Amino acid sequence: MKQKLTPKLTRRNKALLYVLGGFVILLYLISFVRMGQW
Amino acid sequence: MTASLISIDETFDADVQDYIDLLKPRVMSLVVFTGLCGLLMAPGSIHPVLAFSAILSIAVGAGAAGCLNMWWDRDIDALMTRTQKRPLPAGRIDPDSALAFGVILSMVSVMTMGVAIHWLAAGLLAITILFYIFIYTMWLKRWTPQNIVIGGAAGALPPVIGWSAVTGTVPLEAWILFGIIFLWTPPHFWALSLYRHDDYARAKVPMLPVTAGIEATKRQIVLYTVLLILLTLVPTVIGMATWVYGGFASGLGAGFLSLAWRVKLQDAVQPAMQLFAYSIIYLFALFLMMTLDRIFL
Repeated sequence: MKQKLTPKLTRRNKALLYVLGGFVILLYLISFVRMGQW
Repeated sequence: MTASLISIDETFDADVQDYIDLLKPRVMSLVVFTGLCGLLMAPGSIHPVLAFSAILSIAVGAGAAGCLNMWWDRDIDALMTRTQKRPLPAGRIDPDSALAFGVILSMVSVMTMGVAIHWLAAGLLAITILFYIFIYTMWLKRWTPQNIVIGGAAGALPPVIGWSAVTGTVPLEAWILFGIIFLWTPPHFWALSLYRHDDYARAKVPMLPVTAGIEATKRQIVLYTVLLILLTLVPTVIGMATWVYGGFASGLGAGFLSLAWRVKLQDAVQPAMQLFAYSIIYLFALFLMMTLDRIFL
């Protein structure tokens, strides 16, 4: 019988991904502003 | 085998909510609000993205400090009814995870502030976090009844950081905001400690009612309340705010003093609970009025 080895993403890790994604977007925005392009 | 591998990090059964609780969201809301007020009161302008980054950095930095405070205090938190359901004493998060979470968020918040704003604001944020952890949590809290008086400096810095984010300086006006929160902190926490007296005694935390007694604490509450009210009028006197704010500050202050006086006269815990609740609304309302006054009048 084949067993699934990778667990589903937990709620905690999903939240972590969203937070990290948002932070990367924020860093992009900051760099745009700091470079005077916005 | 597979099942045990998958569940290995689930031993402590921490959910997202537990990590949010580690950031002390209610304390954070007051910190964010006063920081935002400092930012809005400062003369000059700041790009909305940078303003958002500054406030976010303050929020995350305050949360990280709260997290590290809970990591250090997990032994005494387990002894007090008010705090024993927190994620660490309740065993839902392991101490190492909380320590890592707090340290990483502290560094991220300071670095973000430095990159987005400038290193003065980042330095002030770093001082706030370090002061709260090393001076207040690790040193003063378990050692002296003046713990929250001196430790209050950490909670009073956010409006200074917010102000400096806009101007790049820390003028007298910003330090008046600092002073208001600094003088507000003792009556706020002593009101709490009056009706949580047994908790603090059990955990051997030298809060003023435990070491100096109930009556001495009540006298100190009234004394600090009077000093606080006087300082809240200074912005009007030096032209930092108009008499409209001055009127509101007087009214709010009169309410604070009458409650503090009731605490002093009565032995029941009810007035102390009311004073604690009122003090939170008071600080929100005072900063809101001063900010609106500076923006619109």
